[in-house]
Amino acid sequence: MLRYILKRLLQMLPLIFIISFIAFGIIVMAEKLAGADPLAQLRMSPTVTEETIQREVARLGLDKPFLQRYFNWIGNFVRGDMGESYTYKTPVMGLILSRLNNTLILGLATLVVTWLIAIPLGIWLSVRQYSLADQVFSSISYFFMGFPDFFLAIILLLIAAGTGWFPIGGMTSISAEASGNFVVQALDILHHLVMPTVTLSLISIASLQRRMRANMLDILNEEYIKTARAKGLPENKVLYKHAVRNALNPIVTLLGYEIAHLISGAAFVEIIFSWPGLGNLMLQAVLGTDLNLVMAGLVIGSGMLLLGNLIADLLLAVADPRIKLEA
Amino acid sequence: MLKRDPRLAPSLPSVRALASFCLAACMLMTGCKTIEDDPGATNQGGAAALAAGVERSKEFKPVVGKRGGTRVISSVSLPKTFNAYLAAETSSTDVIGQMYVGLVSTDPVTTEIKPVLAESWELSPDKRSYTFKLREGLKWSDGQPITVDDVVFTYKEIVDNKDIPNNYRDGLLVEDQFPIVEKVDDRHVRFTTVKPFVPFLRGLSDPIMPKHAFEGTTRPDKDGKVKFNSLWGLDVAAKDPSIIVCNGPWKLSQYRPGQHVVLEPNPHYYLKDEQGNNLPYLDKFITIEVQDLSTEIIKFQARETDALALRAEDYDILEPLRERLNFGIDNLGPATGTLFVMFNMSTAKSPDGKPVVNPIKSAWFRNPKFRQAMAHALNTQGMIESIYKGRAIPQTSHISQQNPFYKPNVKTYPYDIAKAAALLEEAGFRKNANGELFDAKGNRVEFDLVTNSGNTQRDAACSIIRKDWDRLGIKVNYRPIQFNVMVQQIDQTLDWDAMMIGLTGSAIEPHFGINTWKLDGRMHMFNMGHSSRWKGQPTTFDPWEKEILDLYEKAAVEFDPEKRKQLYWRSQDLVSEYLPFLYTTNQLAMVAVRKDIGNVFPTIHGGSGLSQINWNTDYHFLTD
Repeated sequence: MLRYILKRLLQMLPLIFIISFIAFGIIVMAEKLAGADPLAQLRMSPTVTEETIQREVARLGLDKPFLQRYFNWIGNFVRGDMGESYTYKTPVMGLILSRLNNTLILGLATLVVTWLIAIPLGIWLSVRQYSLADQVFSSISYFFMGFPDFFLAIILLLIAAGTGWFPIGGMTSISAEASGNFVVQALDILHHLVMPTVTLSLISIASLQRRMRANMLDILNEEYIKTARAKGLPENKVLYKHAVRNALNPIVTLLGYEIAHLISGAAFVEIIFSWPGLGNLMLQAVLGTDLNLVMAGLVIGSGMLLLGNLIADLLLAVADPRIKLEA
Repeated sequence: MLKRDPRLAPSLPSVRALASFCLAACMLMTGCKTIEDDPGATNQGGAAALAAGVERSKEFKPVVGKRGGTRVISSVSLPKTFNAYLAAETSSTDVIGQMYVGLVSTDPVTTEIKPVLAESWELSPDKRSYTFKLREGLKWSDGQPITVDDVVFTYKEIVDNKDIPNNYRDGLLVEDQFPIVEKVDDRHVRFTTVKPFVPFLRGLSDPIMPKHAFEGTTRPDKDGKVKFNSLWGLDVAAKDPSIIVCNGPWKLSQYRPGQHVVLEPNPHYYLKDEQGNNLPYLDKFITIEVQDLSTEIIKFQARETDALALRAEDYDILEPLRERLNFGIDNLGPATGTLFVMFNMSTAKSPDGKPVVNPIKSAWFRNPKFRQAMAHALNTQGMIESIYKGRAIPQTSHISQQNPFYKPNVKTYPYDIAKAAALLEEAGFRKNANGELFDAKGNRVEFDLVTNSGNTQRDAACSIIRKDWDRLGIKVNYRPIQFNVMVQQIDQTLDWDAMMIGLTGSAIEPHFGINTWKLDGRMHMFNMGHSSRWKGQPTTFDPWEKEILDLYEKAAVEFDPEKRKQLYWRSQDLVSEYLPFLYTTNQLAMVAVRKDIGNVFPTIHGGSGLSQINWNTDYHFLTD
């Protein structure tokens, strides 16, 4: 098992290199072909002289050939230096770290809430196929699956403002911050977490619940379930020992992608709820062609995807005894 | 998988349809409501906004305030650095501007230059050097004295330092030379320029930086790195705000990335009120980050924030709430930027001998009659009504309406399609039986019009323009493109036909726009390709382009305000005659601010956005 994990981790390294090369190539192509120019704003400022602009071009190395720029970047990356952000003028690592945990908090909260509700709900509905409850939940699910997510976020924000029960966006309140009491601060963050988590969960519960329900229905029609019922196993055992375990397999794979999704999936909700996560930071970085920041974001994102896949494979091995991990 | 469930499958599209119907219905409802609420807005526009405005006197006379309290505002972004000289955009400078002051500053109410850290100054008889006398007993926020050495250090080691990418140096150059800065004695510092230069004094408002914090960091170290360029970034601000030493009304108390910046009074700030009390009155001045504009409005409505800069469309939503939420809306008059259409008049040829603009089109674009005809076909009133709901005014000059040098009565080109058609005919253009326009040599008049994508107002303006030019028989191929690509076309490739673009402008000193008129300037956008910057065959210039530049250069050394005004007025006459830029409209700047804040005096010259309210936060206080 440990050898398998090590081997998978080692395999990730060349992948990260290839991904970073392609990503770097795309950004530089965007600079060359589409004119994505980090200095565009500076060039349009009436008071800035030509000399100043040429100095910036030289400082950022924009005049160097592509390969030289890439190897320069990857050389620093290997040494643990991901460079400096053009707009923030500070190392990108610090910038990303200062926001990564906020995005993870929101992502994990959503993941936990979604899975804790959607999986049991899917199972519960699958054994009541076509019942009134099933119809009601199906309709609600379809409603939220088709609902524009940004709109849902704004509606919830308006509800928060109207009722005053929840804060209007943000992650902390200044008064709680000033109290210096850890419990107060944790509760304050939880309070702020409710609305964005509800927004993200409502949409993903809908689809995950449908998926779980469909998987269960597939399994419940299998011959071995009939056999199990025929030999007189109690229904609970049939369901939870045989059906659920098998129905979960494809869903566990999904979990791998959800982990990758943790840091990239919530950008719009972050923006609407002023959640201080990576979403807006990365959006602005892409729009302003902040090369180092975009690259760091992409590499971390790909790293998360690869890690997520690994975790999913490990979980699958735990959930399904037929799967053996071979090192 | 859905196969098993045939009854549910067809419900999918209908539920989606229902959802989108709800969305549409909600939008319609809000849309209708605002129109009903404000029937006069579309016709009277500016006047309607003015009527709702707050009456304020012409002069800002601060009253003695009450100590304590907190003000909270929102911003789409928090500072990207706390280093005053690395800050390059308003989200940073808005906060840094509250923390730093310079020798002098422009009074946003009177537009006069007022003393700040300098108590007074003298201009030498040859008008080339200014000698400033510092106030007595000035101190940094950490208690160290502010000295002449700090001033000399700031200008010599930070501003005039090519290793530090800052936007301040270029503004102080006179004939491409940086002024000589020298310490006279412990209280006096002298700036000497190569020749007399009127705008120079106004430029000396740059933030003064503490020498004791930065000494030895402004030159490359042995690894070639300039430490200054990574100092006082967000990491320092988040960890230890007290490191950031400043001299303005506020100092940094707390910074949380993506959340908020809390400022607290700088106990050593030099300014006191008339009773000798320390300023600022408030305990805290907080900026929270709210990335989404709708959320910003919701927060203002929930009284979480106390001020808001309005877009034209926000007015309808907020105006009815003024009484209940106890705020006022100030109409500050036309904003200071410009929005215009320009034609590419360059005759430059690329290094391989190909003209950057097709010579057939170039002949039209360079013909003043053609440009005048196009100006007559700009429906500015239509733009004002449909895009800005009446909350804008027509723009006629490259100098802002709010500028003391603005000439109100230049030649204008009222919207008149018949007049435009007549002018085109005079210039040799002919319409055929299908109403298509041809030039004297029989070429169909057709060109591209571009503007930056993602800006709905410009997009709408271009649609209006295209419709009217189409009525003249011109085929306009309109295409929104990326802002960066536009800049590249203006600056590097020069291969565009017509373009709509906007510029932010200095509202007070016209000279800061001189790069637009320098023939080799980077902003001489309508006719680029000067031999000093272009590798192929250079462009040609008309005499009036040179004349405008001459006027600007003369005005820069003319110390008599009245004579100076005449020079800038003449330049505005030339621009309106030859139309290098076809100006369109100018939005009204509107800000909403809660009424329980004392000493609030919004003015357009305060800066951009909320700076129009927050330029005097040192005097703000909470009334009961």
